Amino acid sequence: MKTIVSIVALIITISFSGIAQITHFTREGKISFFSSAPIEDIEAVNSRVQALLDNSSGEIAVRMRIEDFQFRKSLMQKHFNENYMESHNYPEARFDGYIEGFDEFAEDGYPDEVTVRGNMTIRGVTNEVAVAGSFRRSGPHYVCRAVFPVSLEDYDIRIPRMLVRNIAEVVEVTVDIRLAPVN
Amino acid sequence: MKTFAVLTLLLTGTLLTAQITDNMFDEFGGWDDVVSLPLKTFRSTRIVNMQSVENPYPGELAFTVGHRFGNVQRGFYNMFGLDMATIRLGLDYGINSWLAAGMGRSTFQKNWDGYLKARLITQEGRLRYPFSLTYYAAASQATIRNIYPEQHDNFLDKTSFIHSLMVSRKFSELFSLQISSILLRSSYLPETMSAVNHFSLGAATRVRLTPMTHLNIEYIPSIIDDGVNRTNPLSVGFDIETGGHVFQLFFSNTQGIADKAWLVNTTGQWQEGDIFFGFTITRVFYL
Repeated sequence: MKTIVSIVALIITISFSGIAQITHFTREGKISFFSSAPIEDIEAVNSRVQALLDNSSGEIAVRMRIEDFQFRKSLMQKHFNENYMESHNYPEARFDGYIEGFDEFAEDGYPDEVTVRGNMTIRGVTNEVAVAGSFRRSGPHYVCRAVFPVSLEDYDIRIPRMLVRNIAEVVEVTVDIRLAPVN
Repeated sequence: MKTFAVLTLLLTGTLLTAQITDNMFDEFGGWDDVVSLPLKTFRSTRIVNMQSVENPYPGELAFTVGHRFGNVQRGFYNMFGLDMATIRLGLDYGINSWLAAGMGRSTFQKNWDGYLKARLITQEGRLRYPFSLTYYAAASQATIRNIYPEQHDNFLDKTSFIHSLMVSRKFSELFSLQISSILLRSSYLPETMSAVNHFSLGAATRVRLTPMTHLNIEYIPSIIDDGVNRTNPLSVGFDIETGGHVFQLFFSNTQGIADKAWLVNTTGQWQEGDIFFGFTITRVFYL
């Protein structure tokens, strides 16, 4: 009897958990990264980041295409895609998670300091991460900002020994996403 | 039973973090067309001697230093040919996304050369062509004295022109193929004592060995017999990328470094061991 109850409970949870109600979205989120190494600094920006939010549960998903990262030097962009990120094999990076202590009825400017927990996938490698940042309500919008380090080693991104003085082992990632309400 | 309940809880927990699917993203419009760089069918603007379909990126100035050494059979006394070098210094500039221009000077017949190179069709791109098509037009001027017979020792007789139309396809990151038609018009050749129209059909391939090293093989048979006694250039090379440099190291049966030199003056034979070592180093600057 208990087994049946549990199975029913499981089925119900699975079927319910499949339905996230997207309340906010963007297709123009901005994510940039900055690598500072003895020989040179490298910076790239992706302004076509997509994000979806369910503000009743605090679930958030972010995805971006690696090829959309724009560099000042084309040659760097080429090497980034072909040699380091292998964007032909791993075209997207993604984050799926939830905002801890999220309150959909928060006032303007709140909840502010939050921690976002979830799974970050870069170059086919998924890591569980917790990112501290600011997440504020701004009228009908939400504005999300965060700066956090990403270690290349964690995502199996290998730098040839000849270039260790050109590329940092840990890059600083900056997130600037403004989510607009659906409709 | 408790374990089952715990399992249910755990499953719910994991599912909660992975609910938003790609389909949901696609409901909001999916991806726009990517504004990507033209894909690199070959790592450099030259495969070994022959031009590749590639141009420098817009605004890029590439400085190339090329060396071709003597016959490796010359033995240790001549350091296997390293004592006899011909060189070419060149500049290549990406004017815009489809046009590049360049110039160079080589020690072969004190030759100056200049060229324009246009990418007519780029593989994929906005119209999703399955191949790339590039046109290359070059003029070269030998300035060496006292080599041409006296009545031909003038400016115009030392001028030659090259037109090349090349088609290539990048099949994958691992493999590319190129076919080039090369037409050389030379006002006067001391070898034949006449004007020469020379036509070659070159084939080349790139195979990726590691993300930053590639193997190139290039074979350029001449198609029409123009009376010049020569062999067909066959070269095997490696492209090694290191950030802003590309190192190309190769072995070939031609010592020629100017276009005209390897089209007309190739005499080495692989089976006889007439092999020449050479390299080209390309350094990219941003203006």
